[in-house]
Amino acid sequence: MTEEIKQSNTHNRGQEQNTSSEPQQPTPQAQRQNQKVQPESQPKQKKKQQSAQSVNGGSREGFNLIPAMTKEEKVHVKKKNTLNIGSILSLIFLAVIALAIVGFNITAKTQLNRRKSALSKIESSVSSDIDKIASNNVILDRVKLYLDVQSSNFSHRKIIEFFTEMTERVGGISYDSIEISESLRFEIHGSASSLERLANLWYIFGVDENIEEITLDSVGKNEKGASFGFEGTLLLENFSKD
Amino acid sequence: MGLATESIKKRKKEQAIVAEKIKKTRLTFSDLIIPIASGIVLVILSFAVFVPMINAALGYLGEIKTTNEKIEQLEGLKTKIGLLEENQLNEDVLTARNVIPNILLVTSFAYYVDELAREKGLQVEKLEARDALDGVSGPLEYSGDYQSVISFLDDVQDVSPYIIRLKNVEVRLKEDDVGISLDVSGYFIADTEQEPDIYAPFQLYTEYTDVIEVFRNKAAEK
Repeated sequence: MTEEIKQSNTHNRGQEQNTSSEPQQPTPQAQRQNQKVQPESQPKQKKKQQSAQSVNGGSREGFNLIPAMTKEEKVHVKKKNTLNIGSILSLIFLAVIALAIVGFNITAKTQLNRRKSALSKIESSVSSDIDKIASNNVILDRVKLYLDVQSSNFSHRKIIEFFTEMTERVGGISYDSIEISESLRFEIHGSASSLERLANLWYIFGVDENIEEITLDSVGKNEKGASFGFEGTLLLENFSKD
Repeated sequence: MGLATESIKKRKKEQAIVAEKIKKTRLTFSDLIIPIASGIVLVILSFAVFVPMINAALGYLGEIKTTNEKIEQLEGLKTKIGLLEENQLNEDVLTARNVIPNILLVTSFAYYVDELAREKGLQVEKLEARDALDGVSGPLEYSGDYQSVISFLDDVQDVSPYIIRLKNVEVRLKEDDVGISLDVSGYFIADTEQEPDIYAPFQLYTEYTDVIEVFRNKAAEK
């Protein structure tokens, strides 16, 4: 389209003068162009030039009536050119974006399908060993139960021996009963030969590192001396099983 | 004079033609149709096609990542399974089921505890056993000398072929003998018919060789 415009412009400046009914003399440039392009038609042109010269009153020099393109006109033509390229570019951009997105989508889906097929292969391969996994889990469940039981397990023997050892240290103390719960809470009931010995036992229990806390739950004085009841909590780490 | 007017007319005509041409080359709305139309198409396509397509593609990428992780996990699982020796595994399953059975019969459990008490020279005062959640438990009462009671307390857990926990132990100390009452729980694990989930975290039982050794010892005592 642009080419057409340019051609038509040059045509205007050259040949249009000839085609018009006016006996205008063509510019020397146009003449030269015509000479180059149509060497065979030279005699005809010469005749025409002669007739044109006669119309112009014999003057040899002609003048161009079409003014040269102003800067504005050039900008207009240039602008149009650019805009047309812009349209093409925008279409190309649209096409490229569409292709890129569709391509990205297709690539991603293809890759996903490939990975899924690899996964299904390895899944079927692992499924053939499902019995081994089940057997492993059977053992593992039992191991975990055992460890859980063991973690809160403590030696009742060690605890009873600890309390017995305490009575030996103080002297004059005898237990009636020792109760030990799962959470290492204990209750001791017994009798002491005197209140002083009971106080001594309480003190020793209070400062012992195996006992987390202790309270004298009950105390009573009788003919034999004193009866008592302690409540407290033992420290697991000191009585855990080896 | 006449020639001059004629030439002016001609010039005007020429100018009119040039003006016409300039008009033709001037930017018009029709020149903007393609860029504007392509812009509109781009916007419409963006919302109608491109955005869903991009979202789908991003979803695929997320799925690829998850799939890759699964593949990696299953490959790791396969490697670990390869480390298990089938004969040893079968043997260890039997041992573990021996120690912590699928079901613990009340009679077997009561029989074992009572048998141990008798071995230690304790007198039975009360023996009860009943089903409890995931186990069998029963209050027991025995009496005997101090050493026998202490030894019984030690062995009932350690030497037991089952996994046993003592609860609420009460020792009554009398002059010549010691009475003991306690609750004993024995555990079992009922096996499920369900197939294991291959995507569940997997750990090799061989990491607990010390516990397996304990199981073997306990099973050997049966």
